[in-house]
Amino acid sequence: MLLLQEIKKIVKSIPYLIFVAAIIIGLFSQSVFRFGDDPLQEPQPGSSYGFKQEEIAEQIMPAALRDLLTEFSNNNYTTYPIGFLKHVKLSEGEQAKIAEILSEITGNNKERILQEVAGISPGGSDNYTFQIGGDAMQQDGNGGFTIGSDENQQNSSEKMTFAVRDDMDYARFKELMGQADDLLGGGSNYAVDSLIGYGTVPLTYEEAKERYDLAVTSDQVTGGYARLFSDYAGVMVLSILPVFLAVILSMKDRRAKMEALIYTKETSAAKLTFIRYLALVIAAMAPVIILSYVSNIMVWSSYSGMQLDYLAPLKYDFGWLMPSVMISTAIGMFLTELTSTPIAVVVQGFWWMLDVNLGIKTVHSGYSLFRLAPRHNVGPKSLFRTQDYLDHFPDLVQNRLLMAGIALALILLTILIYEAKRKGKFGGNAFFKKAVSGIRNRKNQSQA
Amino acid sequence: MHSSKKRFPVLEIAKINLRHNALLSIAVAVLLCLVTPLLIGTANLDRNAAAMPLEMFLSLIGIVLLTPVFQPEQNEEIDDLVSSKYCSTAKVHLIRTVCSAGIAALLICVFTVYMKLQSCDVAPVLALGSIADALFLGSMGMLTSALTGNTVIGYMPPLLYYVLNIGMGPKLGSFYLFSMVTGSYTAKLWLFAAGLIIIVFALFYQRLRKRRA
Repeated sequence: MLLLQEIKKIVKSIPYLIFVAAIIIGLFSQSVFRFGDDPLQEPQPGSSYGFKQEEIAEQIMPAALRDLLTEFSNNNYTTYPIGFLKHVKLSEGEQAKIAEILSEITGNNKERILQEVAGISPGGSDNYTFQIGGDAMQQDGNGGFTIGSDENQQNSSEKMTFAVRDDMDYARFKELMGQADDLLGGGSNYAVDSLIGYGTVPLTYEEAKERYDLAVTSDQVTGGYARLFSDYAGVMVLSILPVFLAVILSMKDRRAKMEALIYTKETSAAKLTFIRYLALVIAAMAPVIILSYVSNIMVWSSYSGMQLDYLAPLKYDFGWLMPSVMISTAIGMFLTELTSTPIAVVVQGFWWMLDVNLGIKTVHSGYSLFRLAPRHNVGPKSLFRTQDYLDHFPDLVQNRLLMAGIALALILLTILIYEAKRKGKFGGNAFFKKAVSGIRNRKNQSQA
Repeated sequence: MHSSKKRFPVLEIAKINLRHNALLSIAVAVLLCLVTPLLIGTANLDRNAAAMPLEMFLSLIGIVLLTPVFQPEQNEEIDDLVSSKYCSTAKVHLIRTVCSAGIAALLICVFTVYMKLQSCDVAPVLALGSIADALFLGSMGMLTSALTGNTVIGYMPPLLYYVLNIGMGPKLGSFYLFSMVTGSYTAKLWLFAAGLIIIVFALFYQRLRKRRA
């Protein structure tokens, strides 16, 4: 049977051994085999239950103002425009606009803010005559901030006090912060969606109990652990390493000079390509399924007497992880067939790197449409964030179906390219070779 | 022709290698340098923050440039042809390794200067630390490529090690790739030394393998 032959060929290869070792090492490094060390515990009245973020205007406004003021005074703003950290320095004109925003929020004079906090003389060029921030900025009892400076104190005993105006409307505050975020190029903590990060309140017993009950009823405990396993397995290995298996297998015929011989065989292009794809996906998934159960079984004994979902690891393996394996494998096969080069490693590596870093702000639950590896990393202590998972479940389904769909479409294209090559209508990387040799020839001619 | 037999044609080999073997790798490495400022901030950074683009992005150049050093001879026909020549393949590998390491170092230095022009607090030690990372990652690729006779497999361990660094962080101790972000530079000495040792071992192994064949 061809499928079995292909699977055997893969699992007996050195890359596969490296692949399995990588999964074990990668997952071990994230302690997925020690989930039992931190068991889920029913909240007891009178203890601390952790915190949650909530849109509390009274808390958000002074905290966001403090941060904006500090960054404004240093003209060094921290943003994550596409996930990666970026330090933004604004021009004098843009700083003036931020000063305008600060002026509207605090009621202080814009020119004075510019002069005293950012050290810019009105109408003049950069003139940082003194440093503001650190010890110079003090919070008073009313949630306001006082800025003082040596020079200021020499010239005048008056200090500037920064506090959100009493009549400041929260909707207007959000609007102004949104404008500040736009000036910074987006991705700052002042973005309208991110402001909630400044509001933190302790969980009540009832809320903590509700979270616990949801983890026990909806996730049946094991589901939460399986989800955490999938988060680590997806991002650490399964969205990047299958591409290597696919590229190496696809290039094997070429290396063994068997390509032309295989083209003459009766097996159809569709059958051979699809069986190879299936073999790669099965081979990549087999150790994952075993390890997901090893990780999950270790916690079962901690929850004896409770109703557990023993099929949870399997559900997450197929529903969450397999689409990542499918797309990674498909990209490997497609680009190798198209170019006859291992360029797929670079492409997939780049996508993986972007995906890991783009999702840095949504690690707790990020299932956006084009995520290669969805994230849901919150640990057992936060009771699996089951509600977040349930709220965003339709997004996750869309993402996983899209990845699986693209993977199958790429395999279809791979079949077409393979068939064209077999008929001699397509020469793989002939186009690239031609282009490169063209450049070399021109170079040689010019040398001559 | 007669004079080239007397001395080893180092420059010619380096030039031919650049033109025929290293073009794609160099293109990918340059692309990485060009894309980095689009992905991560490379302006107005203090010393520790400036280490991030260098350690986390530029160090990958080592994998791209050093791993394929043995690739041309992994094609049997080329290997047979090259073996019939008077030039020692081991010396050719050494020239390629020095070229690749040199280009990696050059690109990292150019990028560091670019960051300096962007008002970052960069110092030569940051460039040297990133070169150490690049050499270490590249050496892992070279060794795997030599051991397995397959360059694509060679890309796996360094990439894995890179992922492991993201996942495990400073737990990797003296072999932690991103230590400069936290202001620590001693790990770079270990990485540099280990990188050099592994590269020498990979070159020797490739030579032994060739003799046995």
